[in-house]
Amino acid sequence: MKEKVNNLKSNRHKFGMSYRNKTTNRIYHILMILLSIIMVYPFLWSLFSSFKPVSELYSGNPLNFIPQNPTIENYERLFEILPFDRMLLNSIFLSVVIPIGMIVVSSITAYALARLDFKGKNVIFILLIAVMMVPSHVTTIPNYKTIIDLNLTNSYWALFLTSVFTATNSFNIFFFRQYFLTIPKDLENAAVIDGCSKFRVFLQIIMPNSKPAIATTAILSFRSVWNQFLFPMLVISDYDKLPLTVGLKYLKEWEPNWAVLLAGSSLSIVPIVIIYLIFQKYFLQSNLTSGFGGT
Amino acid sequence: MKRYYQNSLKLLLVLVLAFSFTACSSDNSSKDADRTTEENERTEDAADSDIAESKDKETLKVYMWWDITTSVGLQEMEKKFEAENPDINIEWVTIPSGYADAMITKLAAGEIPDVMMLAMDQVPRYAEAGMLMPLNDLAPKEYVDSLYDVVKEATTIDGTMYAAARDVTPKVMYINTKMFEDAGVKIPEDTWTIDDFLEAAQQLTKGSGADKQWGYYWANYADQTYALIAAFGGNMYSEDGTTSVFSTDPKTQEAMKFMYDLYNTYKVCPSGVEAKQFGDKEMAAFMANKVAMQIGGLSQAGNLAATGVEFTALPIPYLDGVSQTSSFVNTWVIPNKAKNPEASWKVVEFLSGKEGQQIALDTNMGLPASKDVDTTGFINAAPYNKYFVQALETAVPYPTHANAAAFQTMFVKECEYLWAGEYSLEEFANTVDEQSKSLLKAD
Amino acid sequence: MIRTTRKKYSLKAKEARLGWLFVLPALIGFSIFTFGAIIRSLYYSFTDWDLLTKPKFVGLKNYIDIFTNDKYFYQYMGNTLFFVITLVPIVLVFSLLLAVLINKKSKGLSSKIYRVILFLPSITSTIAVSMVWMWIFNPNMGLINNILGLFGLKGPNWLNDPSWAKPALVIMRVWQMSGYYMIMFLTGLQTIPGGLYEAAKIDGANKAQSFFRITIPMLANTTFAVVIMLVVEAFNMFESIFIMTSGGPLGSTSTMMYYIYEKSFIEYKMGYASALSWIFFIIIFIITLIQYKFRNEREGE
Repeated sequence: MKEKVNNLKSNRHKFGMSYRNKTTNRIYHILMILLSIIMVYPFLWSLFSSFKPVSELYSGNPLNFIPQNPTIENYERLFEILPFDRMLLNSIFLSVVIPIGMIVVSSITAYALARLDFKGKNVIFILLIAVMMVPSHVTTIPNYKTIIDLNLTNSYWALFLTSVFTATNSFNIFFFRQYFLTIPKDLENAAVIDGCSKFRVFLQIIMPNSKPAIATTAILSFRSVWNQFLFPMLVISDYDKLPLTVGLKYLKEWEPNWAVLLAGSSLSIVPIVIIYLIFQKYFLQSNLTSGFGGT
Repeated sequence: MKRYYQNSLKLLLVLVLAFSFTACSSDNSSKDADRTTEENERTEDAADSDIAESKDKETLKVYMWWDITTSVGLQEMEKKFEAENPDINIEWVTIPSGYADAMITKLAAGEIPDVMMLAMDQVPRYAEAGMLMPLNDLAPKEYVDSLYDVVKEATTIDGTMYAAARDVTPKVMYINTKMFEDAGVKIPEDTWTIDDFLEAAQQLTKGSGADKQWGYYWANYADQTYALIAAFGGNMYSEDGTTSVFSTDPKTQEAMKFMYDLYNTYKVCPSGVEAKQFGDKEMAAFMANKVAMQIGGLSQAGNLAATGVEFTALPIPYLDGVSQTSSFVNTWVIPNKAKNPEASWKVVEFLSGKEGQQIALDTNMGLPASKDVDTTGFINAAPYNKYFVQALETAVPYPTHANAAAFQTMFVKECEYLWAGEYSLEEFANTVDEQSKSLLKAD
Repeated sequence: MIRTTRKKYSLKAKEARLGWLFVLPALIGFSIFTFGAIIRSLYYSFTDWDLLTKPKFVGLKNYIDIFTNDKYFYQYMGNTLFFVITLVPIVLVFSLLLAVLINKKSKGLSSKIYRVILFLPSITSTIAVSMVWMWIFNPNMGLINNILGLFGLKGPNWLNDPSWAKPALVIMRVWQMSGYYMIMFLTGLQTIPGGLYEAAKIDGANKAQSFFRITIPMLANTTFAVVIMLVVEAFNMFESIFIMTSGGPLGSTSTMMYYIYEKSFIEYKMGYASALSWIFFIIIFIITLIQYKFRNEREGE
């Protein structure tokens, strides 16, 4: 008996892991799995429930994940009440096009602020960044009126302009500028000596070397535009032109059937989750910058 | 170095100010542009009419929140109108959601339809802002005389008629026949009184938990609350529109006390929250066979029929020999800057006059505004339809005010507290009237 | 000599021109939609305006009314502060703990997976997620009350109960936001040199001591950024309230943002709403300044 225990003790050294560590390891994993379930449960549950017939949803045990009589009737009803297929395309369209605009404007502005020298440069930079301190609700009403005056109601231009030229984009300007400052000056100087104009330096040296920054900004902006709600709701009145988030709001007013509402929610959530899972690196990395992040 | 910053800062300020005020003044410039195009069009129209019988079809734009492709009634009206008026072509524009707000932004931006639908509670606001064309000169006497009183009252402000009725929705009391049957309660006579109503409500409130059911419900919207206030002969606003009358009008106070008791003393009503678990729609609990009686307009009959719930309707219960119901009127209006008022009036007169209203009634759009409309077909269509017509004779219009939106938001919030028993009736009346003074003040 | 100077000047001028050219779109756009908007908003706050007619100048009337005549202002301000006071510490602590946990095995594959999963709730739209949580909080058919039922407890009415509506929203927001801030803390944790911990261990410090004496101080920068962002996010709570409770029941979840929305786009009292938004802005600004000052003083220690 004593021999066995001694053996075990020496074995412990051999494998470098104590029993205590093993249990803490197990506790750690159990805890993490529990937390992960909490984080993920609402999404999965919403998705599965959207395939349940409404009677099952209302009477059944909500802990029952898998639908017993799976059906797509909720999605059929979803597309029947409101043009959700159109809205999905709208959201995708806006979430791709507007970020492109945001990147173009913020990168050229950031380049000017980082690398070009001109009077008033620092003042402009401070102003552009300082507005991040002003909450968005201050500018909502005046911008709403401006959109009316410019006759841009019910048009995507309204959303484009208010995304690209407000504090939402200030962060991108800041971010790009930080990044550009880290690009070694030698690269640029070499190009300038070779006779490149600063403009060409921007296009052909800076941008190609900023792929990580562009990717991060693109992802963040995609997410920000995808989740936009208040301004699209105020400005767009055609059902066919609404993005998904606003469509969900109207769905809630029109349809009391919770299974259908969950179908609508799932439809809004799934695409962004897929994008997230594919591009997680960029989402997670975005927080690496100090200070403000995009919400 | 310091001058650098000073100069660039000055330059920046100038730029900023320049752009911020450009945006401000742009609405002035667009108005000027509108005026010149208007004048041009008027001279063009004059030139056109000089060329006799040019047979050029004039297209009039009608904005509404309905959909022409799904509204049978509207399609019929269009057919008949264009048959009688071959020189006018109607283009229907649908604004499906947030109509009142969307129309305001469009009108403010210079997009002016020839005719537009408008809910009666928006009329005072639009009229006060000078956005509506008065109809007194355009409407012939016989048209005005044929209108039910409730319609005349609803569309006239200070003697000027600003709107023409699209249809009228007087309210009746819907009865869930299945629930009455299951509870063994006889459906009351159509001369029933408020006391009969209360008794029935109590008999139909029973059960607990998932089986709980209630006798009566009304959603916490100002017009729903007003329906019972009207039954008691009460009011919302004072004659001069400067304050509400909850602490001064005895009939209104009686009505509020009755409703308060329904919730807190007799407990025959579900709270808004309890009712909402069956859905967001106004009559969701009724449709789920959980509420036995609810006040509603004609359109609810269509909704109820669609869900298959068994129902009928009775007039609003009698109080002191009178069954008074509140009535909402949806209207057609002509925007003040419409380019051809006469043509616009032709459309409006048709839609809201004898012919259009006959179609409205026959296709169940709503009750007619004109007394000349033949209601026999409608009455024969369902046993309870006669109550709708009956109600028209004694209906009072839903009270409106230019600043109603602000008042109603406050009113609904305070009502929530009252029904929950957080206030006494006096506290409620005093605080509502107090706050109404600043909210209703004319700007 | 002169030649090179002239060349330098023209090059500099060219660069300056390009700089202005590049900056011009943002400058013009921001002037209209941000700088100009801020100034106009201030102007509107001194007027009575319902969008249909021209704004009417009324001086300080709106501001005075808000502080003296507005029944709901103080209640809603209180609601907003409730959310700030609860959300900020809870999310801070929770996300820090999560980060510490993840950091233990930061190299492993499992840790990477957990990271992705925990971050997931923060990327979706609050509107969509609010709908799902509304159902989860449903008193009879929702998940939470059914789980409580398994333990023999009767769950409260959550979103329909004035006393429980705010806690319900807090629960949902903690769930949604923690992953995001966890990543920020994780990054901060990873900048702490491991050597510090080794040295502490040699000196005989246990885990708790090294946590409080090394980890927390070293995270000061990150913590500061997190607190600033959390405060702003808590103050700005709107979408979840819009969908889940519409400010009710009995006004218990109406926040300033919701009130501003209601005043401007439901009641069309745009001047009043603008005044509200400026008061709100100034409050947030002062709080942020206090935080900065607090931090600067601590830096001096």
